[in-house]
Amino acid sequence: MGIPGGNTFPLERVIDARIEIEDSHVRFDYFPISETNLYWTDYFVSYADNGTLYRVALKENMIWYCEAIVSPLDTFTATWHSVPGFSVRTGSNLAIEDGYLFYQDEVTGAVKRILVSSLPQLGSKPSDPETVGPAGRTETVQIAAISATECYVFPMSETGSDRFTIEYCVGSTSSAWDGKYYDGAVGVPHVAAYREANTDYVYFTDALRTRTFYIKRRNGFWSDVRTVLPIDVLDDMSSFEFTGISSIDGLPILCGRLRRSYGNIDMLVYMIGPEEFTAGRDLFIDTYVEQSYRGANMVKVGNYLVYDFPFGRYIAKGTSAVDINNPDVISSSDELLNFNLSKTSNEPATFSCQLKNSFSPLLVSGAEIKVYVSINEFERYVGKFNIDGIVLGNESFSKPTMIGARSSCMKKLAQWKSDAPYDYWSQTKLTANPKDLSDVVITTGLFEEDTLHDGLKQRTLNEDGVLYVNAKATRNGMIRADFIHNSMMIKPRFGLALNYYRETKGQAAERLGISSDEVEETDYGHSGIFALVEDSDRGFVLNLYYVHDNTWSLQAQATNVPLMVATNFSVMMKFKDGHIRVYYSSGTAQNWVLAINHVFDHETWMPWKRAELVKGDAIGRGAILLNGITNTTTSFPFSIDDDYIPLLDNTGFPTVDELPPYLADRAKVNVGGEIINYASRSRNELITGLKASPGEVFISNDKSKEFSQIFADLRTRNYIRQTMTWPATRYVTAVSVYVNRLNYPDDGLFLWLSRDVSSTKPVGTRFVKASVLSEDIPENGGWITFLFDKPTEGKSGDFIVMTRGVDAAHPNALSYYSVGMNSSSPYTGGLCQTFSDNTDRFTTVTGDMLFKMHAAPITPNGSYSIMVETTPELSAMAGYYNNMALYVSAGAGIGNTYRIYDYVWGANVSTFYLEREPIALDLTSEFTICPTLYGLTRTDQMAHGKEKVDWWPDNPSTTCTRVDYFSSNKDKSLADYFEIIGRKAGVRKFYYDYLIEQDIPPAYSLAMLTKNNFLANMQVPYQFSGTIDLEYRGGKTVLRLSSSDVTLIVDGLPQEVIAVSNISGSVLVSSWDEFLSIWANGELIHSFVVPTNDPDNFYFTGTCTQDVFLTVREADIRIDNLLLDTNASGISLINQVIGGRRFYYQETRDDQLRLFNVRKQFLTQTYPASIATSYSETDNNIATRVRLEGGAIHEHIDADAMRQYGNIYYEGNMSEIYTEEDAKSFTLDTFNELILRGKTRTITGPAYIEIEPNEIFSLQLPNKDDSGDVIELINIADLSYDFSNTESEARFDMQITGNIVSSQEV
Amino acid sequence: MNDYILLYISGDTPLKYRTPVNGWKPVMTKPASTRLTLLGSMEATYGRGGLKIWMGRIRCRVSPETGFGSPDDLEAVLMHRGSVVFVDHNNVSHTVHITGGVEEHTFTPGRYNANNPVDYNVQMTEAI
Repeated sequence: MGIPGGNTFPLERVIDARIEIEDSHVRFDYFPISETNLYWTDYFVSYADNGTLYRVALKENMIWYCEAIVSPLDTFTATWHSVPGFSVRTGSNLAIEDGYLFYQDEVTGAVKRILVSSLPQLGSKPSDPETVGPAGRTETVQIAAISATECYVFPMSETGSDRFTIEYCVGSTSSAWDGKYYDGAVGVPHVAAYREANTDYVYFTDALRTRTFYIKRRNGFWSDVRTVLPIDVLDDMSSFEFTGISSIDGLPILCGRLRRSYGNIDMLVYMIGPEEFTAGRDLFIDTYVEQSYRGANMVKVGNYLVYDFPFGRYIAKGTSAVDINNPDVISSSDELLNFNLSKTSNEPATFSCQLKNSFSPLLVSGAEIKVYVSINEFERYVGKFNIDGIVLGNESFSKPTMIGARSSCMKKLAQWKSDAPYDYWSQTKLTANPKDLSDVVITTGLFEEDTLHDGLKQRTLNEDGVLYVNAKATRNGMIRADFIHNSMMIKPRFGLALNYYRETKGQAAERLGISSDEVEETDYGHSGIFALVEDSDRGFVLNLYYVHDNTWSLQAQATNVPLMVATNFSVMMKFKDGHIRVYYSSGTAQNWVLAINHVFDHETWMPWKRAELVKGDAIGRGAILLNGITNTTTSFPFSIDDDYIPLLDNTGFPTVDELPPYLADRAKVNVGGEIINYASRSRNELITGLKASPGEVFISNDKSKEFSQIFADLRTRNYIRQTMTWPATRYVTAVSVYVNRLNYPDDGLFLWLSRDVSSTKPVGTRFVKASVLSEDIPENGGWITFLFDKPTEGKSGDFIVMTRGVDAAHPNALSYYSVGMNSSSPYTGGLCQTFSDNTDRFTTVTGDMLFKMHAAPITPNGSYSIMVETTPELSAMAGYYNNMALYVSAGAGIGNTYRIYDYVWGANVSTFYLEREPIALDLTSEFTICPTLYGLTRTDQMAHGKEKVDWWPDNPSTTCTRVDYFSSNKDKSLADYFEIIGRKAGVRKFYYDYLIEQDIPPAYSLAMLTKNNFLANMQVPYQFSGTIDLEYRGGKTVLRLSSSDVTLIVDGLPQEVIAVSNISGSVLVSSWDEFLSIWANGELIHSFVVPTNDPDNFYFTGTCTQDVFLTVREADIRIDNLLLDTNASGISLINQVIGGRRFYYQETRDDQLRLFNVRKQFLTQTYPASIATSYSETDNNIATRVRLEGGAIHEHIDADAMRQYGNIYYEGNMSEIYTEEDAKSFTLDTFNELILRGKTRTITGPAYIEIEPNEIFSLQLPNKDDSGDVIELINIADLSYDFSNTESEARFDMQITGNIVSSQEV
Repeated sequence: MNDYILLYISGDTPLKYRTPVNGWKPVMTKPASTRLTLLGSMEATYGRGGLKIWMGRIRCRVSPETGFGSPDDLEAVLMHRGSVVFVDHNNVSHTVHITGGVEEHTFTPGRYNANNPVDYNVQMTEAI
């Protein structure tokens, strides 16, 4: 584009101007329908063709057809006819596309199509419906037609489904989406489809019809599921249910019901897609009224937009807002007196003008005004502006109409505000060595660095150690990890997980029905999809598990996994909307082996545990799991110096003798961190529930109680004794007596055995005693056993004495004891007497005390023992339980364990002999016999409780050396975010400056950039031949595409090969720092981790001879995320996403929103026509040396500037710097901007309309001393135009203010 | 060349009027501005359209000849809010607007005497 009139700026101009006004806002009016009432329909569709509106409905399994309708649309009446001969499956729907009606046949279940125009307006059956897809189906389907011959179907039950898949049908074939939509609620979604640029957009609601999603499909690739409106999770802010999508002259318009809370906002809306839907001022159809709009969509009839549904119709004049050029809403005027236009970057241009009259009722605020200027009869479009305000004039009084306006697109950006928070994310990328623990978070397990293999390993065995990757939780993604397994003595159990979720304390408490304070570490539910390498009886396998709150469910298994010791083994899992693929790669192999190809399917679980807790929040994390499997069991408590380890089970713990000599030192276990060598193991049996026994009864008066003998109430009888006849000397363990308590004596009872009566010791010498507390003695009497501390030898002549426990000398007549007596069948071996210690007198009482004396067997070696009641489980073999242990499982002494060194069986009582004295046992004690390992060698002794015991032949030997995690989110560039925000605000046309934009046959071309970090978009031909190579960093890193795979090549050597068939269509390659990711038609193909080095040339090459359309925009630099705050304007959001990057945006004169970075020298000729100028100079706020710091640091110096101004240093922090390349680029941009601040030029002169702010403008001016001329390049900062055409004056001037880039004398 | 002009509202009967000898040189103007650029060249900008302005005196009698208009006829035309038809001495028709003040000159004190000539100073503007 040159100067008007040729290469020389015209110094003689004839100017003129005109405007066009368009009231472009679309306003719908409602018209109730008066045709034959079809009041309730099950489904409804309509479409328009050549000004005729066709309407079809489904009611009671019948197809109904309305007579074709032509304008006037608002006054007609028409009649519905049922179409005989068709029976539609209950619960199915109708779809119309390209003149064909699709329905599901009730009998066969097949989807069929029929030409709508052949439908019988006169009621006869049309002939030959054609089947699309399979000839028969059992399940009910929802149909979304995409063309006259193709459709998508959603199989489900008649009443809906909580998960469903999608099939693409054409001819007699169908191909299913590889994933599923998992909802969590049962219902029938509403569905539709739209095709644009060879890409199919398939829309569907969730089961409850509160959100609307879409998925893209092209060349067999299915994108991720995305939401139409930015609603992450179902909250109380908004919901959106679409009713239909249609094409208005190629413009996809989606209609639906948008609900918002707080005020019961419920409205019918339309938005322009097919993705990143508009939601600006042009949105509203009407408030929602409760009736069926299902299937209703927007159609164009003439120049009208019609939103048609069974009971009514909304009609609006079409405008340019929906790309309809409608003369009814446009008016022109050439009575423009003057106008003023001011432009600067990143703000709306302001426009004001005066019209001779208010020429049209279309002149309203919000209307679009297009301005044209002609110079020497060459008309130029100045731009489109949206009217902010109008002051109407009056021509009769020579009062002009005044209009104020702003550039249309920028006004939309400034006026639109987001109404819901939403975070847009580029791909989450992470590669890390987990040893650093900065990129992984431990949820369970103990870990340590493996310095030998430079990674992280677990410190324990037989315990899953899980670390999740410290990157954003995502819906779909891939994880890859590298492992080294170094021991054949330890069975492997390692791998990785996606959709991992560890519940919160509150969630755990709620699930378990306990309070949060009670939640233990082991109570937390862990969930996810795990792929683990494990050992099976048939070798190593790769197992796929669903894990749901710690419940593991094996779903698939790959066998013959070639895991080798001390060799790298990589595992990779990809998850995409239920489709799970698990790969492995062994050693240095470049190819990944697809081991498991599986679609998530569980009756009740969702693939994302999180989604079960928060509706719609279908996210999870990547995780790795490390474990090593050996025999493991649980110990019973044992002490610091015990020589045995009591276990639940001691099988699988090989002894020294059982191991080969060279592995003899592997007979060791880890108990709670103490490594213990053992020599032997005991018999392996576990007998529980053994009850303590006081011993065998060898003397007794075990009869029924007939009366009681009181004692301990009076000083005259404060003792009572019973003598008996001993059969032999015995080791007495206890004496049982029938005792009553009266009231509440403060002290209990003493019972002792005495012997050696003398005059000074009338009750003999006490040689063993026991006591019982008062509260343990029943008021109504009962047998009480007095246990002695240890078996004590008793012999003939020994007798029982009982008295109060504390103060026998002060009995209490109100609270005392008595013993049970029998006299009818008297004991013949002894005598019962009370005794007064006051008088030293015995008093013989009637009858005998009821008693039983217990004894232990003769104690072998004098050691300690425990007696139990003999049960059938106990062996009668002497010494059978030797080297096993006796654990006190209940009652007194609980928790102690004693090693058994001998055992004697008895018919009633069996005795275990122990190597140490048992502590605090009584008859409440219960015991468990357990196996042991013994013959220990302990070096770091510690006491143990019930702890995990692992066979420890090796230290844990599985090390993870690398983990990569990627979400499937497409990387988004600055341009992408710019467009997302712009479209939300209602802007639909964008302009970018391209670094590369051309059809390139790679075999012949080298397209070069000297940068690494950018997004490249390609249109790749289907089934191309040869290769397409994207060479980064001067060719050191190559991404090679072929029709069968994608290969990463580094330094000439293939590193990774990803099989992918016929990659084609829209292919995005994102190069960012150490990551290289590729998507095809929205589906993540793979993400590679590549070596980084200095920026170098990017080449586009290969052997493919077909053209590949390659584009790289200036703004195709990856931006990590956009946080869409609520109540933020479009401009503030764009400024936020641009951040410190030197990018600028403005509206082009052809109504596009432009984003650019590099300032261009627009005018190749020099502007000679300045009529006034000024110049200013400053050294404030300039810099000659610039340093920027962010994720990387770079400093830039300019010698000329340093020479001229000296050393003026500037340092800044910029969060947008992630890489070295970012740092260099941003530092140079910042320097260029700062150094330009020194010299400012302002000029006024005849207008040159083609320039824009931030462009470089060449200007010829006289030199300061009039010695000649100088040509200056100035960077335009502000630009304004002034147009006036009056009787006496004609003016079309501009004023430019800008910074001087360079100056050269001529 | 006629010794009269015609002046009437479109649709009405065309009426003739005499004009004194002087004052019927139309002046033509157009929107234009000229500036000297800093480099010494002339820059000229012209706007759309232009004006042709007649400023002069129209004479009529209270009892006019046949086909001529009276002062009342003329005043009705002069005060018309809108364009009027002006046929000049060369019989060329123009669509003009009467703007500015209209000054009446009567030759005798008897304003309404039958032979009293009355002059009017008028400004007629035509867009060109």
